[in-house]
Amino acid sequence: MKIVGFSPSENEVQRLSEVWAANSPTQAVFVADMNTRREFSRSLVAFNAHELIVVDKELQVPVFKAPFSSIEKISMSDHSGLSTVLIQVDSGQVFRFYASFSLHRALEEFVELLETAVREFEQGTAHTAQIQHPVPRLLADEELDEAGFEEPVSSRALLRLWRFAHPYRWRLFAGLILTLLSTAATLVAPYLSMPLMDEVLIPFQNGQPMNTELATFYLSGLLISAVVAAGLSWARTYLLALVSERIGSDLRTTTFNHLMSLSLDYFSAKRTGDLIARVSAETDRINLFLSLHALDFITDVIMIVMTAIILMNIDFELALLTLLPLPIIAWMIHLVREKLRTGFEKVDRVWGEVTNILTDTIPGIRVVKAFAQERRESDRFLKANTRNLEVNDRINKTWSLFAPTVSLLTELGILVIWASGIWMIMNNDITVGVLTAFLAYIGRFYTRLDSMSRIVSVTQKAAAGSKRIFDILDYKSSVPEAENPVHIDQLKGELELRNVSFRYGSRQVLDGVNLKVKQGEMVGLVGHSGSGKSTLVNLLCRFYDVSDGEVLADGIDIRQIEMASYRRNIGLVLQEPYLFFGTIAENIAYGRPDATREEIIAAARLAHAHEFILRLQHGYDSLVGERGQSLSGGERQRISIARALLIDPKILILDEATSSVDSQTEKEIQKALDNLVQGRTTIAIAHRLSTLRKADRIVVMDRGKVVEEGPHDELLAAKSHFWHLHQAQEKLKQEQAQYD
Amino acid sequence: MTDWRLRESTQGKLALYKGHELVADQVMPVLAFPFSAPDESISIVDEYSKELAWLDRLDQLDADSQAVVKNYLAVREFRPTVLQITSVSTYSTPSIWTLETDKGPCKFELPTDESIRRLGGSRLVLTHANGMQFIIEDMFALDARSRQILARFMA
Repeated sequence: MKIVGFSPSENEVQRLSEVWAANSPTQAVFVADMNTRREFSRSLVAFNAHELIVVDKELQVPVFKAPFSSIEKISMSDHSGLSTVLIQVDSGQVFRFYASFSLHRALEEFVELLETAVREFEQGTAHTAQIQHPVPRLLADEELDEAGFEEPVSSRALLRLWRFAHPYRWRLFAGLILTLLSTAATLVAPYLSMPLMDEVLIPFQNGQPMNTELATFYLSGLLISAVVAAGLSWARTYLLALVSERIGSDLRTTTFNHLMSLSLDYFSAKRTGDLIARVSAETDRINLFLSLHALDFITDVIMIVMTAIILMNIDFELALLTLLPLPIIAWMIHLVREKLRTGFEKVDRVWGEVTNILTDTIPGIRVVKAFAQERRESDRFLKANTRNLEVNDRINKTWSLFAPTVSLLTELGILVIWASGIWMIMNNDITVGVLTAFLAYIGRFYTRLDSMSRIVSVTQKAAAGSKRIFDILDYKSSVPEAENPVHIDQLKGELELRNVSFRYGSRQVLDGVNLKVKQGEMVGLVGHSGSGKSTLVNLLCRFYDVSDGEVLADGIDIRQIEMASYRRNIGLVLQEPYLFFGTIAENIAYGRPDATREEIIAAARLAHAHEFILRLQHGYDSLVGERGQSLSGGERQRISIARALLIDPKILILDEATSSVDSQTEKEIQKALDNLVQGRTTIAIAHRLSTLRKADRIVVMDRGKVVEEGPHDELLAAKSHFWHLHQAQEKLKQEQAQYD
Repeated sequence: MTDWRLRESTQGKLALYKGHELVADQVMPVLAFPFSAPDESISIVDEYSKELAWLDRLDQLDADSQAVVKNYLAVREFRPTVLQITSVSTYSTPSIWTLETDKGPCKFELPTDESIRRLGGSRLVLTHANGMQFIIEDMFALDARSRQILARFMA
């Protein structure tokens, strides 16, 4: 018995063997995660050598039973995450069973097995499934509960920052020692106040002469401890700030580098504003947290522990009374913690919303103005801002209550010491000096607790930031580098797509595409928009990986080739060329920053860009703006052609390189392209079919499939898909001509 | 009332008739506004996505046709309604949720925060990692625990 996807339970297997009409063993079982009424449940779909049955979990009898002899057609489709298998029987009846899209691989496999079985039944050959398929990892499974997922975000998210702190561990250790020493030094002063009171001031008040010698001794002790504490504190702050700044910088760099390595689908799913905020603001927040707040916090903890020890040593009973409010405050802190944490995550999201509006509106300002929607955008911004206010107000409500409560508790704590101190002095248990020392210590003690309570909010903010950063760092590129990638210097330029399918979510974009491109051949890709041309190009560039099948370059699966070395062999000219901020020369040399001036000029000449560049005020040194706004579309396109020429790629991909310009400019670009295409394997997507006259072969795509291929004239003569496309354009041209 | 009629056809598609005359036998109804107007603005397109008929409202059809169209859309526009969010594996994404829906209990993977989309008002649509969509008709009508979970993923 072949099990596809999940394993059925023993009961289910047992039931299956009972329902077969003919005594023939089960050949394959598929456990669907939905029943035939489209509810999340379980149902069994199975066949033996003669018939197919579907058994619902709730029902004892099969809901559907079809002998192979009656099955006319089996088809499969999926829509919004729901896969449907349709069985059509000879009585004209149609039956369906369903599974969620998570199972589609297993389902496809099952349907394939079923089709084979039905076919072989008709041909009278017995079928036995022997192929061993890997069982796919599926989500609806019970096993999922045990699958290791991340813990919920807490301050623990911050611990993961250790990865970045690790290189600086020795400096951090030194900083910790300095912290210990400097804290100890600050605690000397209150300790000296005790003998100063008991041995100098009180005897003097009781009529003894002033012991100047002892007074001077204690006073100089106070001075020295203050100076030492200041010196140590400076050293520690400097050292640790230095380290944390480096950690922050490493974090930022790593995040950006990781972001650069991610595949395109990550960027298409995320909003730019959010990503920018993560890399800039969040890393900065973490940095601030490390260099300031975390440092203070550690000092505070050390201070509290040391103070507690000293107080215990001076007088145990009074120390216990002093420390009494501590657990109450700790509990309070914990309470507010929860509230603040979710609150701060919310603040971050709302803040992301605000920046998103900015990144949305500012680049689109022309559209906003053209449609006179300034007010609406202002309103949108106002709304996001109001929301920001609301969320902040809600947090501040909790937050503002927090600090006064801590202060009140502090005052109460000091009152407790005064009261119990006076009582103990009355009973001669302690001296006035001890009480003075306690009050001096406790003053510091509670101010530390107070500032510690402030750490809660910054820690939560930093933890939220850290989570958002690790969200990026944890994201594995869906286009991973192979484990032992093949390094390639220069490809010959042979390309082959073997049975390539590509799904975007549950949408099938490419379906079983086969295409072979010889070295130096120029292939034109045509088809309606949405026919999968651009996806095909994205797969060739390995911006995405295929869902099924393989893409081969020089006979090697491109997933096995070192990505950078592969892409170095590809020149890409896009419909909307992107120019980076910098000079024209820098933009041309983007793919090869070490190119000489002569090479840059040669490339520009070939791209027919040289002359217009010289007409610019600063020639090749002219700065082009954020999106090269001072240049026309055609000019920018020719710069991007020069860019592609300069890297001298073996494979050239033109993605509608001429469709966004007028026909005059197109001619100029076409001339530039003709230079570019020579001697390279070229895949050109073109909207205007006339630009593909020179193509060796034209491939017509329709709804994810190759429907026609051959030379230009041959396809025209065939009067099929290409001819239709061509006719439509010719008609358009004639109308245009009439108009002119 | 229009004279368009729809009946079941082969391969799970529908057949479109004008009166009693067959227009095409491999058509499908498509909703123009699946979220904002699920019973209105229905286009009947052929297998090449060419529009053959337009219906302002579903009730312009006869009862049989309505049933056929509804039945077809139930698959194409399969969107279970979330009744309760029982539990959640983690508050960072991707996150696995256990849902109680009108179609029974199920697991749900939220790939990113952006997979929760506001449909206006308090209606939400959640998109599962596999593309399946779940509707929350009124986020404020959910129980406290579900709302709490949702709030952690939303601004």
